[in-house]
Amino acid sequence: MLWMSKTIEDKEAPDVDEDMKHVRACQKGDAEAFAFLVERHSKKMLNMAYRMLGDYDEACDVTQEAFLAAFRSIAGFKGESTFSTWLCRIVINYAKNRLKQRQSLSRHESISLDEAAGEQGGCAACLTASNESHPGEMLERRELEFCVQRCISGLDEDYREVLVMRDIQGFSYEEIRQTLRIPDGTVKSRLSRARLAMKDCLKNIIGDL
Amino acid sequence: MNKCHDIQKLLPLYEEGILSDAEKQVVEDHLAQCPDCRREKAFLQKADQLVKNLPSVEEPPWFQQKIMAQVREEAGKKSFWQKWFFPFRFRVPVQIVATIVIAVLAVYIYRSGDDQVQRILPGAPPPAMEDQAQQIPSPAPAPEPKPQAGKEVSSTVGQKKVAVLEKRTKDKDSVIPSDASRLREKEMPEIKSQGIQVKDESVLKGSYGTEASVSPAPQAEVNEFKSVPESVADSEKSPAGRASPAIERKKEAYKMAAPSAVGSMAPSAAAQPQARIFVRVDDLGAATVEVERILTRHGAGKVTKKVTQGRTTVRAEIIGRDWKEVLSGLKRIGTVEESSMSGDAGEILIHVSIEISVR
Repeated sequence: MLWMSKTIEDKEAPDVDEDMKHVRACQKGDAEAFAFLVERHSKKMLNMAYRMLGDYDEACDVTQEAFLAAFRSIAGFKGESTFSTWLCRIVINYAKNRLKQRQSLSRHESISLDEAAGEQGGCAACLTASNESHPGEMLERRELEFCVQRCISGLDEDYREVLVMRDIQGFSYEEIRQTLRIPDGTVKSRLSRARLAMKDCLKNIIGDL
Repeated sequence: MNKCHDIQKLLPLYEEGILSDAEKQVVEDHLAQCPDCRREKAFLQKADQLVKNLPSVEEPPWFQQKIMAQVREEAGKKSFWQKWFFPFRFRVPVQIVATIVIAVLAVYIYRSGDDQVQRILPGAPPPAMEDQAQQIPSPAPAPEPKPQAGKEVSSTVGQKKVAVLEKRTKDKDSVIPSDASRLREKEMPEIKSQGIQVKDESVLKGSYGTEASVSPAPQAEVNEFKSVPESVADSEKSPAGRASPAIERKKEAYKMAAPSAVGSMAPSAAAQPQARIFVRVDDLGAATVEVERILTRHGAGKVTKKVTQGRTTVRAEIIGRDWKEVLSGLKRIGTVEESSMSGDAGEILIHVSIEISVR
């Protein structure tokens, strides 16, 4: 699967000391220091929100709200976890709130979640361009991506967040445990169930993998 | 079958290599002899790769700038909030700030009220706080004010307020024309028509005698000049009190002129013209006697005298046309300075205040 682009920088751990230096500056009232943190983490947080929600525009809104919320409460950040973990928790909470809002809205409008998830996804132009430019391959790849995203959106929120953090964003078990504040065994069991559910879902949609 | 189900549950973690050695061994043994589980393992690997290789999405244009714009706006709000409620580096509770503001406002309103009272009532004592500042601290406690002087300046703030209130009540009485003033108004046409000067002081006093039972105000006014409150005497003894007699004269002249300015508040005082002069003499005692003699000779009524150290104030009521003669008589006694002087008053009764002081 080399045609799937995956930026390596997403997997790299951010420089914690550098983050903390700018966090301290923000706490002293230097709002401009927050620009460094936005620059470093915005893309990762946007991707996480996008995979959680399955909708690009909503993911942008949620990410902006999460950064603003982080700035508002940065004075209370004591550095017990990394800034990245702390920010990730905020993004996940905002994304989960958005999902709840959407659920209640779809309940009123009698739209099934599966249909909504299938129709969403929506930002082909925002996906990172790969080296291949063959239209047929691109179409096939897009379809596959929509299928995967649809399966992710069909997961329970608890399984989805673990899968997104571990398999898509590459967080360590320790970081997931800190972010979600759940025991290590729960992280592992949820991740195992999420992977099995993904396998079953993809097998049903795509057929023989 | 149950065995396969259990093994397949462990496969996701087996792929990641986080199973215990015992579990890992069980899975490997089973996979070696079960093609279904091997196929499931392959599916799982493929699905896992599909998820892991999902492409990342790019940020929309100006995404970071939008976030920072919101952050800057938020920072501005924060500083506005801090500016108003936490202006200092340390946090002062809002309740303390509110208490201080209320206290300052209360003092300000209290003092501005005193100024207004002072403007309306010329005889009222000065604002309490200023007066306290001017007073020289005396070693012995101030004696209780005499009942007559109770309406005058006293040493405590509370009593001052009472004095102001009494003064205001007195003024209110004077707004409603008393029997005495009505009587005086009745007398004036008679005087005018007969062209007779009122020379006998007892005539005036006698006519006022009837008013004492109706309105005590004029009597109180007389007492005011006969008995000098000790606190006033003390303040006049003090250097601050004597430092600038010219300023003091201006203040008192202003007080005398004030009733005419606020005629609606004190119509009785504004109705009659007033004159005020200062006489500088060599011998205070002799000059005072001479001034009284001149006034009596010219038919002045209601002559009162207020003696303070180094100064005597004589007040009287006199027919306007006699006032010029009195003035010329006073000029013979010493140097005369006219602070305020009504014009040709004719037959109208005018209040005169003559301050005699040593050169």
